[in-house]
Amino acid sequence: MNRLAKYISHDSDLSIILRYVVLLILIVVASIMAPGFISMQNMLNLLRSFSFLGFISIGMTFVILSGGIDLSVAAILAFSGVLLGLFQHWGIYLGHVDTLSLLAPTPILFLIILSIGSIFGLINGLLITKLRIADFAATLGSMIFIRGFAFAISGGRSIFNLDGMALFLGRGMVGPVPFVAILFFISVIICSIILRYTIFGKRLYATGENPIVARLSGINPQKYKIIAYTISGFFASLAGICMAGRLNVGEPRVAEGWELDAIAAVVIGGTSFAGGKGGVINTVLGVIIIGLIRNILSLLGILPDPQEMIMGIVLLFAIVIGSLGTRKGSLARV
Amino acid sequence: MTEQRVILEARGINKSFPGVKALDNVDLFIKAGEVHCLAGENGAGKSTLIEILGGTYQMDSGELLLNNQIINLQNPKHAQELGIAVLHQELPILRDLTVAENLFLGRQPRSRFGLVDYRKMYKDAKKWLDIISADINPRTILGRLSVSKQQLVSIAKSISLEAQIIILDEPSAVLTDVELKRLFAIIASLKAEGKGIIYISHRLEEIFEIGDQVTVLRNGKLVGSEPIQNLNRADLVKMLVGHEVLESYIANQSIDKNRTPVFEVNGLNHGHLVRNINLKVSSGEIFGIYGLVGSGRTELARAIIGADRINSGQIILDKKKVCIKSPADAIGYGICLVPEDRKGQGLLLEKSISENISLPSLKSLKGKLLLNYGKISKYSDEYMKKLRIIASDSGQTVKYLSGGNQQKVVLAKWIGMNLRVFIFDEPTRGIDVGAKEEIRNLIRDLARDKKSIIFISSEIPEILSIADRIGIMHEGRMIAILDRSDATKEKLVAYSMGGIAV
Repeated sequence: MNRLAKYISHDSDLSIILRYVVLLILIVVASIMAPGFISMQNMLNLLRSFSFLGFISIGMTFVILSGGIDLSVAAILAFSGVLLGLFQHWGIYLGHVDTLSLLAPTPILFLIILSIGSIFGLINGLLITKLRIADFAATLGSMIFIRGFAFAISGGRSIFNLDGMALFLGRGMVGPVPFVAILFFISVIICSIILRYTIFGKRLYATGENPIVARLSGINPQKYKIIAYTISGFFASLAGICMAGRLNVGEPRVAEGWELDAIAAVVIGGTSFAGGKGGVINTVLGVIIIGLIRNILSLLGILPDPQEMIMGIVLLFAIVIGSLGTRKGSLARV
Repeated sequence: MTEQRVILEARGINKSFPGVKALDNVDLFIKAGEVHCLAGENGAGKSTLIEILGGTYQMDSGELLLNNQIINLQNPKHAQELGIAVLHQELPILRDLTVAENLFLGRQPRSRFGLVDYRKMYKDAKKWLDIISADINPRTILGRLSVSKQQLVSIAKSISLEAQIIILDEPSAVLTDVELKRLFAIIASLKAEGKGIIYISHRLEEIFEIGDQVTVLRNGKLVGSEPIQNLNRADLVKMLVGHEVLESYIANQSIDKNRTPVFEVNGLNHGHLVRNINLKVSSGEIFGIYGLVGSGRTELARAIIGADRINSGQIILDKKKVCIKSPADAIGYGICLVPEDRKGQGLLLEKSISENISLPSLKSLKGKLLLNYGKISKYSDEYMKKLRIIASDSGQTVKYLSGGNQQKVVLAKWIGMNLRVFIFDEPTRGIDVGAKEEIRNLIRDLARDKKSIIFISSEIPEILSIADRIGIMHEGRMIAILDRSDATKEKLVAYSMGGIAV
């Protein structure tokens, strides 16, 4: 067992290969169960359905790499969707609920909402670094607050009907490819480059692995943590806008519990909970694995709630594989 | 003086750790009603010996006799049951529990129903605290007490265990003078009750004040055990230091002839371990800082580079005052620290050699927009070669490297950066002899390149072999600065223990 632990955890390539093997098995299983599975059309549809979770998982990757955790992403997602609905139905306050009445041109609305999402992330970062609140506690607080805020500004209502541009974001196709999937893959590429080829990326990894070493090496770890949370807020907000477009509704109840799916995707992808190890490509792998497992379970006729049972086991398995022998991940030395 | 009964006898104790013989055939006799001081430099083997007496370590060979019975200590709990209590400097306490709960941890009085009898517990706690006349409410949360009061609680605990042997590991390091006086009074009363007390101290005056007998260890060997009244200070220092062949000092040719200070520290204060420190280092000079563990060396280094916020004081570089609020500021001014804790503070253990070496200098390894991995690997290969870091390639994970190679990686982080002031905190600790000399030579090379160096070490031969001047710290103060030509082992030991030079 010890030798296996050493081998898997120390040789990160192997642990990543293992994940690809899991992915392959899942694809084979799915295609046996549903003959249409491997069709191009189905693949593209799946890609679209993965993208929403994908966005918040990208943000979560930055946070987990920095050694933190962000529970507020799903709430920011819902809040952003509601905000989009409200901004496009500004007349709601005058009693005209169903007619579109834009507060500003849609692209400007997007910018405003993305900024607000980022500011929520920024506030999380400041709470954690400046007030020295544990990451978990701070973002749990903001999760509850922001979800409540989403209910407050919408009065608990779903705000139906968005304009064409918002719908395109969630439903539009570029040729055969869903637009949101393109957006997702552009985000993945940009974030991978940021993590691999910029000073910011290197310093973020250093901060996550050991903030003390980072600090003595001339890095301000607090700064990088704050930026990571801001990025997470940004992507949660982007996910919220796209999701609202997909569903054609600003809905405060949307995506409940998704913060946990995002964390699971990041960890199943092989990014270490201890921080400083992993990356966005890994996360894509995690998102696809989670999505496929859910897809297969649905094909098997298992209802969404009991599915959680199996998702839990998969997550634990991934964490065990990922943390065998690591300093923070194992209780062996306690 | 009447012949006292021997309670604890340790005979021919041997203990080795990988690569080190920590204790070599050491004997120790503790009599009833005696305060037995244990003295020696850092690494002399004192801690190892008390860990063995306290049951934490198992000896390799030797015998322990308690009241003429051979005992075979299995673990700390076993030692405690036999009546040997060790009071560590870092107290193993549960800060969120009350004083009484700590006193009776694991042996709380029970009521008839098997539940904890709190009333009896608080009453008993009060009783033991009164015995040592400690004014502490047993219901207070322990973490809210000062460190010295926590120390008193531990003493009460060891008395309540009815220990026959009480081992105090440098209690004075955390106590104020008044509290120390009180502790001495408690020790005196314990002594009168016929308990055996082992007292470890780095302060000469204390040993003379309360000791009856002193046993001196050096490099794991017993130097001697004498009644205090037969000794004077000079004798004791001589026992502590011995007469070893010193490593030769290689004269530093590069030091600025006028000794114009490049780097100055004026009146630096930080907490109680950095008090009004002044020092000047000129270009090409190696300024050594010697002090015992806990004398404030590391705290001084951290305060200089802004890792901890200072209370007052100035850092002056080229006669200009600079404002350093973080290590990043310090690096900006060309000042870096190679920390004592290589693994915890110097290296990203999970990352490659190349990533570690390039971490502080990423800015210079950037292309127009993105990092240039070609440049990075060229840069790290260059310094790997220069420092002779032995590894398959620069992609190797640093946690698999030997201590010496790891330390070279930490050095490589800074050497390529054209800095001016290097602070080394115990750079050769825990690495093998050959690598030690290599590291020292690298530091001498830096001095030759006109860098200003601060070299902190607790090994006297090492500091004498490399430093041009040596500052000695004791309890947060720089109590003397000696030129290399004046510095002797005896002086360093005497100053570092707070005594005057012999």
